[in-house]
Amino acid sequence: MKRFGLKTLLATASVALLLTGMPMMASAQEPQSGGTIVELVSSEPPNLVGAFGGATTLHEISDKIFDKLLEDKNGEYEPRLAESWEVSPDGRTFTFHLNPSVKWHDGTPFTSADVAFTMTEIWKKFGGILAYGRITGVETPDEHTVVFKAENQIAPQLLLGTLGNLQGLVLPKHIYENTDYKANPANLAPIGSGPYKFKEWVKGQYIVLERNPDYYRKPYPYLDGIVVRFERSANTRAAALEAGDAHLGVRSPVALRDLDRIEKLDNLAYTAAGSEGAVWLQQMEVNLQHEITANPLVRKAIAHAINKEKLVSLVYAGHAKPATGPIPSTIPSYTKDVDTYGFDPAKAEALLDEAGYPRKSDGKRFPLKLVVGNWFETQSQSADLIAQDLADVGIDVTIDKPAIPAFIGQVYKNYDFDITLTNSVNYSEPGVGSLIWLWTKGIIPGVPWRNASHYSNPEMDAVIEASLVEQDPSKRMEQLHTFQKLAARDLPIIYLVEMDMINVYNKKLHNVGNHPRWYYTNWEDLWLEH
Amino acid sequence: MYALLKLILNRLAHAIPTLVGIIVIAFILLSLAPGDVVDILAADGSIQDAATAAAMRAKFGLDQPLPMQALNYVIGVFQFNFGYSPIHSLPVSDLIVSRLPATFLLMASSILLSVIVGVVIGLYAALNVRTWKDFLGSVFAILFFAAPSFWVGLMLMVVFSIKLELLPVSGMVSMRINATWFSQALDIARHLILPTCALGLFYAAIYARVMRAAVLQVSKLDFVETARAKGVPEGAIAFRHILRNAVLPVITLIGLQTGNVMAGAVVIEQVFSWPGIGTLLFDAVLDRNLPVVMGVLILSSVIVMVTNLIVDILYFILDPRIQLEKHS
Amino acid sequence: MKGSAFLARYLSSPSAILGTSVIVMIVTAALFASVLYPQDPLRSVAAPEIWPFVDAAHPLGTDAIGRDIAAMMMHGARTTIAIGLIASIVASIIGILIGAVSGFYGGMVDNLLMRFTELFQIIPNLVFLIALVSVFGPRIEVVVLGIGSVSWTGMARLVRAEFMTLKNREFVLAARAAGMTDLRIIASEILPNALPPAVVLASLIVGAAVLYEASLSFLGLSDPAIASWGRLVGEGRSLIRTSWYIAAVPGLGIMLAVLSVNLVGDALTDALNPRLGREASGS
Repeated sequence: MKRFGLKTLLATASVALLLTGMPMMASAQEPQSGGTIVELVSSEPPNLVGAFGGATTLHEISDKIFDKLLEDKNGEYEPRLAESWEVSPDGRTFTFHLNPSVKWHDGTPFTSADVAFTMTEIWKKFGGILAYGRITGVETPDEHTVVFKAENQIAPQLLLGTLGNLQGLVLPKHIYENTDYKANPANLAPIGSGPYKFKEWVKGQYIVLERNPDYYRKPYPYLDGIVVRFERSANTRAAALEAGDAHLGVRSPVALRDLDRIEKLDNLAYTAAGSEGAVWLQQMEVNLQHEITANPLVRKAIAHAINKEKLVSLVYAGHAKPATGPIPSTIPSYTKDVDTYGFDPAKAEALLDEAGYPRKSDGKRFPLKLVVGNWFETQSQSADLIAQDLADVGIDVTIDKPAIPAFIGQVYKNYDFDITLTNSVNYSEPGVGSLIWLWTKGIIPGVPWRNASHYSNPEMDAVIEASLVEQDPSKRMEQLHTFQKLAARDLPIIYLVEMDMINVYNKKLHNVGNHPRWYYTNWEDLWLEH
Repeated sequence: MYALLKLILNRLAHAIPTLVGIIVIAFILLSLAPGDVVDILAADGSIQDAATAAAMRAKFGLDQPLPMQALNYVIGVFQFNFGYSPIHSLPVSDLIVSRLPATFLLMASSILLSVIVGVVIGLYAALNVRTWKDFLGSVFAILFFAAPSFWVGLMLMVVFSIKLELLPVSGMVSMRINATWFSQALDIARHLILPTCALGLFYAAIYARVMRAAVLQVSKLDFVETARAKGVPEGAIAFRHILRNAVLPVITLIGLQTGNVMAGAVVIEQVFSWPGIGTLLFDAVLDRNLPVVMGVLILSSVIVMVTNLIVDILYFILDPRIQLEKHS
Repeated sequence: MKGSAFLARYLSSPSAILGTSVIVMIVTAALFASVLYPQDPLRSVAAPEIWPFVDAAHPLGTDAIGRDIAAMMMHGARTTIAIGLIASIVASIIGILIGAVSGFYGGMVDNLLMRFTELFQIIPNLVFLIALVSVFGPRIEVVVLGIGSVSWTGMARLVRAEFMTLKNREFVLAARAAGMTDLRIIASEILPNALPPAVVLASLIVGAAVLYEASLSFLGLSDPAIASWGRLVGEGRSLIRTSWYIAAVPGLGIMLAVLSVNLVGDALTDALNPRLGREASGS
């Protein structure tokens, strides 16, 4: 039996201590308890329960209130609600030993029944998560043991990487049982087991989280509370941070061009650390149902025609880097050994000629509709630049920027696009967010962030399906490399840039960005100097 | 008193069919929109099969024939039920009510500012007619009448918040903890200054023009000439005789403009992240959360109707001619 | 009224001359946009964030992604003018139709139509416009028709009032006696006489329409394919702490456009109605 958990943690911890521990101890300050910080987010979440799926802001807040069985730190697993776990050698039985001292925020003890309930009633029913779909049975031999069973094998990294990510937040059975889950009032005033308790939600303005004094991981949390304030515009976020009215903004809270100025201020700092294990890719999904773009030569021509460096420097002010494939470069399973498409308009033109689309008398070859997922200002700006790049090689691009819900219907339900500009979030475990975009089974009309290209390649499907069940880590690594090579060769999605997700914070705040998926973690060790 | 009551009852009776009309317009828009509440829910992937969708439609009464739905909607609104916001899992009325105080505060302060500034500038310009002071007043009125309020807001922000660092950039409250009641009120007042100016100056420009014209007209009327002939000092004439009469058209305009002030607040709230119904409306439009959009549409119309009524009452009290009619 | 006398009166007003010349300027800018800046104005052509009056090649500077602000302003002038004009025409047609029928027939028809007009006066214009856009999508035709549909009430009331006074004049009574149809009386007898004040009001609606469109596109709710001035202000917002000119310049453009239209409208009113005009200006 493979044992993950405490041992792994101790081993990594001691290595870390050897490498950096001693000098760190001397120079770094002792963490201080107390203090309340103000965090700025760009939009108000609809509710606070991430387990049903939904927007990023929702998950960011939900992760402070709820807790997971374990925490995935770029492939290393740390115990949380589960103190330890075993995976059977056949990859069909996953046993978790729960921490007996955990209580929900209302004082009710946390037990295996909560985990079993969340798996069968919430995780398996909402969100269509790959790993959970493969679980066929849940057993609770005692109050503090829960066993997940699968008829078919599951790659351990897939299940643990999902449980240890934002999809793994456990809900209280006693609050949700026999209710309409999505209409439960607790979705707006959640009862969790994490380091921070929900205190207050002033609609349109802010949410207050306060320290959970009974949190089972002492001495955490350090902070007395977090005020999450909704601030829609980048310039007002910058102003609030500068004035000291707010301490923190995550995921690039200010205009990227504004960062140079922010860096020079006495009280603020910024870092791109904290998103290595949750990387935002900017990508162009290509509709393979469209006659012209079904031609791989055309897709390759588009890839060569787009100046990614220009996107990086103009749109992202240098806070991004060109992407090569579906798995970003900071993820352990990344390989750079794939077909690449440098900026080369001449080559693009040659490919288009070869594909049988010469320039017509008006200089144009064919029209394409570019549908933009317009949730960041950078998306809209990128679209304008890309349209120019494509116009230069004779592709006549019409830009369409629908509102977000309309966009989702247009692209992921009606497939009414030729090319579309979107983002994907890619985690350390590719099974969580990266594979489904290119899998035939990912073609699910009406469900967003899936295979809208209609790319269907048996070779690719075989690799993806093998990686879902593979028990041998090195073989799985090879499969994931093959996945990236096929993706870059066939180009159903053109990968543009890996975006830096910048955290801007007050210098009095410590431990910002100290986890590869920092903005999606519970910030138990975040502390304020005072 | 009886006459006032009659006026109020009369207006209310007049208002009901108007209100029904507005609700019907809102309902027609709702039903013309591609996609209903259930489609909004489906957009985030939480409804994935047809049976759930049908059950949801039945729950919201969306399976009934259109005229029946319309009737339900109208009756619902009269019971202050604007439907359900699927995204927030809350009734639309709760959402709007929670945002109204902030919008009311902004509207009230803007109207107050615009009346004071407008009346003072208009009066001052008229009393100094055809001098450079009058000209300056006109320039003020012409400029602010043409400038888009959101842009004025941004420019005020650049000067007073960014360059001079005198006032907060946005929001309604600073997130300082453990503030006293008084310091919180002061804090809100500081946040209120720039949005109020941005919204109010446009209307101040209108009122200044109207006030100036009204003062000029009134000052030529007989009773003013009589007072002047009797040797009443000019200052006393200006305030006792002219102001009271000249302010009437301004009051009428306030009533007429309430709807526009409300709409202006929607934009200004966006500029300053003011947490009122404008921000709610804006988010709802981006989410295509139409029940909320229509709720705001109806409720803002109701607010306009109520203000119109208040203005009528004010007018009734202030206008000497109506008083005379009452006595005769 | 003699045309030449009217023109003389109009031109005697300094605000008319100022307003007219600004309008001529904006129209010229719109006409020569493609000559001076033949390329797509949304094209990134230089380094980002060049301030105005620094680089002669980009007199008004560049924005966050290096687009030439002068080019965007000149091309945007077309959009602004077109939207203002078309929306005003739409509003005028609706307003004249309703006002004419209402004023001509009076009675029950008048009552009903005026209640309908009142409805639209009560609904906050911009809120209704936003609702329209959210239902029918942010397309240019929705925006233009929407602005038209919230701007007609003043026109309806004005035309109604004109019709009510004009319909009892001798020439109308004569036409009636001659057996003309209602439609002909409305269209060929009364309407021409009611038209001058309507045209003045239409010019003021242009100004209001420009402001509506600016607000909508500032909020990002207008047609995303169109670079109007309001959108440029909205896009300049995120860099307002450093490069505030990106938002300031297009806003100035909107202000000038609306200002000039208002000045011309006022001067036209004065010229059309000398007595009223003199009174309002205090002489």
